[in-house]
Amino acid sequence: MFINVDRLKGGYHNNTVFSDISFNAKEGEMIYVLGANGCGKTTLFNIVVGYKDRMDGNISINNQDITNLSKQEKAKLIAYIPQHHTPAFNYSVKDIVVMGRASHLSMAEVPHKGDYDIVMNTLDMLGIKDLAYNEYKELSGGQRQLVLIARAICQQSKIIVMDEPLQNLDFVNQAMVTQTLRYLVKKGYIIIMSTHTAINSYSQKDKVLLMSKDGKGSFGFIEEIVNNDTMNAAYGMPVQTIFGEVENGGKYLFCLPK
Amino acid sequence: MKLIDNHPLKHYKTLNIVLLLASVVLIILSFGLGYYNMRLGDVLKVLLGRSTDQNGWIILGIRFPRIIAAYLIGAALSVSGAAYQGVLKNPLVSHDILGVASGAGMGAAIAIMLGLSSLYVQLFAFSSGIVAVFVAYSIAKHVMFDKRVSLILSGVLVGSLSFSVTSMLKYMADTSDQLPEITYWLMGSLSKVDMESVLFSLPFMIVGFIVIFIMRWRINVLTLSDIEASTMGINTKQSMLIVIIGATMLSSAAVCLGGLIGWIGLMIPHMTRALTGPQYTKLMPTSALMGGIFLLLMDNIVRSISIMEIPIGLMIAFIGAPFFYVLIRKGKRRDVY
Repeated sequence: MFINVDRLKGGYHNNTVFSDISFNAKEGEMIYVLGANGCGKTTLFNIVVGYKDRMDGNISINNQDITNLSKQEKAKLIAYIPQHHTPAFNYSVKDIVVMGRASHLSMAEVPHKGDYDIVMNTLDMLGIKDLAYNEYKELSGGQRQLVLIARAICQQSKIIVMDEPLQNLDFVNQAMVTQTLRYLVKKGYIIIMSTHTAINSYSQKDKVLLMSKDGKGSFGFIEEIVNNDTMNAAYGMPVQTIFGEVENGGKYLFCLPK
Repeated sequence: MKLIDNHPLKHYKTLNIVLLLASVVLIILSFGLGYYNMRLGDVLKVLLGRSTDQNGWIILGIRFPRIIAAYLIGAALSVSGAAYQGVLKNPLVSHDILGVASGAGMGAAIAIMLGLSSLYVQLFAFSSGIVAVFVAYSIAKHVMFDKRVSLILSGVLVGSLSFSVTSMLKYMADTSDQLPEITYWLMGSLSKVDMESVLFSLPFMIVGFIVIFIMRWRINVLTLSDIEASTMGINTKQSMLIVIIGATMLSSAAVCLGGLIGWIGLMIPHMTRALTGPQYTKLMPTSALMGGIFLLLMDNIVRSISIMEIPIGLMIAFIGAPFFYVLIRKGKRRDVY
């Protein structure tokens, strides 16, 4: 499984937000998308998951252009986890997660026992099985992210796109989500996630897509791409980048305005 | 807090069986009620086909259509309200949010002004209810806001426009016969229901119920944000349209039969969520049963308390509003929204 995004151009109506974004990822890779507000991270994600049309360029998964795939076919390849998620009704965790099975069910079908088995196994795998009957809205931000990750796993797509999953989470919840994501990467998932200021416990294999305000992007290993100069250029202001290692050996990157 | 579906099927099945039995008992008891009271024994005799006297005529000719109509209208409005709440992601809307009720009211008023027979009044009401929603759906595409907000605004717009036309017609109507008839129709009443009018609405209701039943799980996915539902493989526009068509069939067929009966489409889904949780495959069947029971109960009350019948729409507003307040009071339960 691999995804290849080539010279992508996107925006709204006639406004081009970005004009030249390329990146690729194969099984077991984690891609961080870094960039200032308004550089088009959300637009990029909307296009990559097939929700919005691109202006130019190419997106292919396993060498197949995704443009002509149906929504159902796309859903089986790539899953999306939104940043803010407050459903209108207070569903139970199990009911939220089983919605990930939608692309495997026809319009008139309701989830079968097999679908609920997949749900329970997934919750078990992520260590949140005892939350299955809890109300989604009562969960902490980190638990909600885990539930949405579980839903994406039940969708059985190997590529998961996440919009700032660590935003507004405290350390405990950040650690919980980060650990889960690392576990999924190890299992062969491709995770593409956006972040604002920091990259927690990254591995040497992880890559970054740095989107700058001029609509271009640079893509590569984190330590090759991110430094004071490139960040200055991307954010349009002086930025201090701090690389470091925590006691357990995890690497981190932290960016601060100068 | 754990939801009721902690013990999934057990509670849910019991609840529906209880409601089903309650429906049957209530329907049988309803035959005995009215200006001419009948003993239960006589009612059962007629229902089992052992009597052909005056009792039989009252029960089968007059009360049977009315009882069936009350139950069906209650069920249809509840299911339609719940469906609209789902696709519009808004627990505050009800069956008339896209203008079906005011549209139907306008159609009925036009037919009454033209001096047409009651079947034509029903036909006009039904078709203008459908047309109102069609217009609201069509103009919503050109409204600048988010899809659902646009739909609600267009519905309010079409509703208020048709309400103005109705008011205009009332102003022009002959005060001795047309005006009372229009006013009475708008208040909602089942006193003029007969077998013919039930048979007119029934097929549309059946189609509506089937459409919503087919979509009963998918409505859950439609309550998520558009991008989520879409990346889960759902064609949101198409699915939404199907649900709206089904819900509109139900509400229009119900309104053209019983006039403007409010509250049910808002209140019953909320009451039902408190029992079943918000999941639509459970919510829908139980809503239908609850709505049927509620409206039949209300109709029995208006039939029994006085000879001068209170229009059922008013009765429901009288009873429904305080009852709903009790239901949504703070500190009761907050686990549904």
